[in-house]
Amino acid sequence: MILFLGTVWVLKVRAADDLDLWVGEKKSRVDSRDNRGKAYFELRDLVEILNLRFQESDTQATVSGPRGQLQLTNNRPLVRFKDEYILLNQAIWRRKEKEWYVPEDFLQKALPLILAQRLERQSALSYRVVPFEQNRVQVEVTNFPDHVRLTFIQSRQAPIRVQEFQDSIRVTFDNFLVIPSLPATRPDSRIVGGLQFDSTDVYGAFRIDKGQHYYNFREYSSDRSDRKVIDLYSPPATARTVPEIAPQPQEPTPTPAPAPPVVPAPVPVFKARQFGNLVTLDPGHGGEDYGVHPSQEELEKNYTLRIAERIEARLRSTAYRGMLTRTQDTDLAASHRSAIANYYQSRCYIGIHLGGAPSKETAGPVVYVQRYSGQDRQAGDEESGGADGSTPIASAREMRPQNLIPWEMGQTTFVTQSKRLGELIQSELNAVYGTENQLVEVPLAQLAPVAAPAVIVEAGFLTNSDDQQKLATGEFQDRIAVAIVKAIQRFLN
Amino acid sequence: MRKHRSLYIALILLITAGAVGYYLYTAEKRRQTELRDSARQSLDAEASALAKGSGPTLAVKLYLYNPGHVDPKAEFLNVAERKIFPTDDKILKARQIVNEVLKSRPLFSDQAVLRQIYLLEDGTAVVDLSEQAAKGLTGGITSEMAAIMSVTRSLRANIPEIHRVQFLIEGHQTETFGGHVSIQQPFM
Repeated sequence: MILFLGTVWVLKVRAADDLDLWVGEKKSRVDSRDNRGKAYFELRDLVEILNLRFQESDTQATVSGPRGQLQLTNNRPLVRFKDEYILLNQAIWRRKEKEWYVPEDFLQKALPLILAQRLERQSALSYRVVPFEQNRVQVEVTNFPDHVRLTFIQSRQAPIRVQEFQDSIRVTFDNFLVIPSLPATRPDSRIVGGLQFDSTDVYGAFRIDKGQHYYNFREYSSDRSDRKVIDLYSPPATARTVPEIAPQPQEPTPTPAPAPPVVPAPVPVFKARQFGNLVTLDPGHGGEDYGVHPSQEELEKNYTLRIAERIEARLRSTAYRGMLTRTQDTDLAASHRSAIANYYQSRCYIGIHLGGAPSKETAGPVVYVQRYSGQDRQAGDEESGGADGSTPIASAREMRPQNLIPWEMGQTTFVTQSKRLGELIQSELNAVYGTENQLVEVPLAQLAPVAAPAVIVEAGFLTNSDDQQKLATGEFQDRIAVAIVKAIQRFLN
Repeated sequence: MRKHRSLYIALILLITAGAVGYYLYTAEKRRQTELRDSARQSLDAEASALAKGSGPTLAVKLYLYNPGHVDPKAEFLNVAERKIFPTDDKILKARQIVNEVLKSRPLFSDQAVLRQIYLLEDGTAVVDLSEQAAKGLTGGITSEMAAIMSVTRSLRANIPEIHRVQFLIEGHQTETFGGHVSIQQPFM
């Protein structure tokens, strides 16, 4: 009987299917266990093998790695990483104190976020820890009379991020381990206090210390995604007048080194208050993001740019100036578009889009304004189908100390003005199209952070053949531009 | 002879134990394989398992996109009735409802898949959709609003415990549904 039970036990244990984890040539085993018919793997084994840190408190556990930490909750399939939740296909299981179990999904979705190495799946229940590949980054310095240009050229095409802090600017790279090559030329110490490589970052990062005469910086990417250019400026010598539409580039005096390819000309620095008459025009989509595209020729991104350019041209004959967020076929993140409007303290923000609907009969212009969670919560709202959330808007206002506004709440104090601007544009465009469409309120990622009256205009539906034929002509695009400019003038005057 | 009999019994016991052990081992392996396979299958498998018990007899009220309308406040959604498999499990019911909504054409594409639904204690339903559910839309704010509102309102209309709906795409909290409408906050 003992023999029989022993045989069953041995076979049962074998049948539990442990997980193999290879670190270099060493194979380690992660114990598995069944819970309600589902396979789980012991977290303690993973923590030990991958050299992570583990902390536990009642129903929660924290696993910390070199790139951050994961928060796990017993009986929940959600794992928290920074401000995100990652949904697993099985709930986390805490068997007893210090004994936590995770599903295989955890290894694929959550664990790689905090590791300094890649976790490669070799086959079922077999993973390998692989070191990151190298990315050689060469830094070039060019000193101009009023600014310093730093060019970061990398051997791989890794995403580069530039972040500004109080005393420094940080350039971080992704995916590959950075091997730095620092420049022989020293940057102008009045603008750049120092340039250092920080090897404590996960992939390696560069730290640019601000000099005593540092004023601001601009970053550019070339068409080749292997390089990033950062121009750091000193303060303007004298106040300049309002620029003519597009700011004219300054002539850089003798260039000591060849400039990198496809870099926009440096833009003069102006004080924020001198931009008092600027209207931010944001042509939607761009680059790989085509927007609505009923055919290969009819791309929303091209229409939006053409219409925005016409609005900008029409604005020149008014007291206002239009500033485009993009002038080329490039994609911009939603937050980047809003940031441009905020940086220049625009009088208003107009996002230009075209509509797309599953039904070909949907037609005409529609203007959208931001609707926050809990805004205008009234009895009739739900029945009317309004998208609504759970946080009352008043609480967001209360938590705001004086002028410090949370980024995504930038639009809160401008909702009423945005509606007024939206209604004016809607009415002008309805006159052009002969429609009676109404202003629509929805939560839009692009509008939420804009600290100015802001709207998104869908100037007709590309999925409707009548609208599409009209929009294809320059004459009709011009009529739309005229209508929008008229509404902007009525609103700002 | 007595000694030999003991040996025979021990031998028979050993062979029996071996045979039983082998049987249990293969049965366990088969069970584990089935479990893994079922986890990989789409969530429809659970709905189809219900079908073995009874037919789709439970009527539910769905809110589906009403073509030609652009204003979410005016006739944007049509009410339609569908039959689902009766169940006491709220999650299974919610899954069937969302799967029915995802069948509405031409709003959603054939690749639109519900990955998972999870109900939180505060009445939030976390609806995790495949990337194609969002990317397969025609584009534009109207399509995104139609998709979000038809799922949200259909769930709320049929399951009173659901007060709000939080959307995830491919298991992640994303800034927008398909490029325009923010899904950082839950909808209700």
